Amino acid sequence: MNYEAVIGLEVHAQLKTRSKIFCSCPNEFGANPNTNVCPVCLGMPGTLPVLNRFAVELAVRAALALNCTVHRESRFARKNYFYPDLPKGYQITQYDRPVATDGFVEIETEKGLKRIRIKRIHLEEDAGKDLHDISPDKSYIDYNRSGVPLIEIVTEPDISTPEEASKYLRTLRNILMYLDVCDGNMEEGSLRCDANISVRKSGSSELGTKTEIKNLNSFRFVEKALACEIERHIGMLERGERIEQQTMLYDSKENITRPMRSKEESHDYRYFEEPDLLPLVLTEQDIRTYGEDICELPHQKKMRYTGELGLTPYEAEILVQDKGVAEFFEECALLLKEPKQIASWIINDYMRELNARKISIKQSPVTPHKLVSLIKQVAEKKITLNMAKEVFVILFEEGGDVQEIINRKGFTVVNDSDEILKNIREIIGKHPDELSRYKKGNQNLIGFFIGELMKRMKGRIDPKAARELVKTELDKS
Amino acid sequence: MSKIVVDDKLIEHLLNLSMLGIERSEYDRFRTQIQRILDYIGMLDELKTDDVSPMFGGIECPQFLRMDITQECLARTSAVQNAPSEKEGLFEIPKVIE
Repeated sequence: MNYEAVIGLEVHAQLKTRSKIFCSCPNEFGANPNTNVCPVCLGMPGTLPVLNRFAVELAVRAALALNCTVHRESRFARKNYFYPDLPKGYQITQYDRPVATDGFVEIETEKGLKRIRIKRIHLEEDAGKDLHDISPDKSYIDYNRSGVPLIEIVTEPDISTPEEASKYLRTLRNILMYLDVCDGNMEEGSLRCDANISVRKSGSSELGTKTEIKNLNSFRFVEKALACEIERHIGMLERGERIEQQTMLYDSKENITRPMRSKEESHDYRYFEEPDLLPLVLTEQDIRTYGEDICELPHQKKMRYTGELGLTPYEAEILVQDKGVAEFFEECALLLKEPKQIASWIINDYMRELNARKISIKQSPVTPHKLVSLIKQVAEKKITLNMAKEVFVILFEEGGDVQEIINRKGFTVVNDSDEILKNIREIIGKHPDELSRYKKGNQNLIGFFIGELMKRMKGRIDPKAARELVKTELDKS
Repeated sequence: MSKIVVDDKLIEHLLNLSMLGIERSEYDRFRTQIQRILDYIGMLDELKTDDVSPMFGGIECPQFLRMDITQECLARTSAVQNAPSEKEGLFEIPKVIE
């Protein structure tokens, strides 16, 4: 029997605001516990929430970029549950009147572009953080995260495989990072994902019973947890067992999903209108203004790179994966109209050095000017590619100026073909055995002659030119 | 809305949601009280509201938005001073997971 999975994702993205959503405490990760708190985000009696304008702006920006309809009027609601990380006993969120609905994201699959519909985007506040590992019999709470602004982005159940889920998440994360809406840091919890999943017989239009997997905080875990859960559902269906609608947690150590303890979940949230907040009303002008900061998005850049700039889809894909890298590439391409060469340098050499040093392109000492100046030196045959690569590493390690390093290292290229030919003839004269073997058909020996020439001329010769000259001379001899 | 009957199951559900515990012997007392509250509120069901459009709140004007500016927070000692127990600036509570 063939089965297919039906998957929907709920992504929580922390917004890059300075202050929290309903109070003026700083929205920052890593501060000392309970130092970014005030009576509002500690849920003290008598306090009132006041909505952060910039949080609204970021939510609208994301919604527009994700092709959603932004609603002129939306409302807040209380989602009630008791858990220590929620000081008020309810979370302020949006329920039946979210800020935006009906959008989509397109992801690349083996079968081409696939559209994942977005059902809704709503604004809400984050909860505090429970710490369970400090003591065996106590839990501890840090409320610094309480009241951090979030958007929740909910898809329709349009995702069919764990790979698609991971691809969607990567695409969405990249868009949110391009928009400067969210820093996308999954390790710090800035982007978190829950998955709803059900399994049905292939071709059936009826949905199976769904389960929810909570707290999937890496792309790898999303894929693995979904694969586990699909297997579990299929196993149960094959054995004729009934799937129970429940919330699961993924245990990455054992690679299994298991039901969440009932203590940690509650199905009865008793939503009602948040009486402390009036409706959020946006004018057409507000929506237009908030949309003005939408930059060129990764998939748009990719189309331009492959179209106008003639890069391969592979090259374009790598460059657009990080907004900083894409911007660096574009700055270089403005200085030198050699996009292919620039892309090749960035993808092969630049990224390797960045990865080795675990730094971002913004932290790198090699500016677009320096990289372009180096590429120009090679293009103008002033230095060889190998010399350029050496200069590049020095630029990374010590900084400095391209020309100065070239001078210091004494890097020059001999472009005088008479001088090169003189050397080649002398080498051939000294190696009659190798010459005769070459003549008898051992073509590989051309490498030997090139090697000798390089040694003799201390690498100060363009390898491509050397090869051509050596071949011509050998064939003449 | 149909009349809600307060049975043991509902009481247990409410206790679970509100994380409260009461003795079984007290169920009857709470059953009577909750039922009385529900019956009182239930009077609203007698109103004919077919032609009335839903109302979300008493004040129909847009909400005020705050500028994204940070302000000084509570001192940590003040933040945790009402906590039944604290340790190094963290709120200390009974273990909430097994």
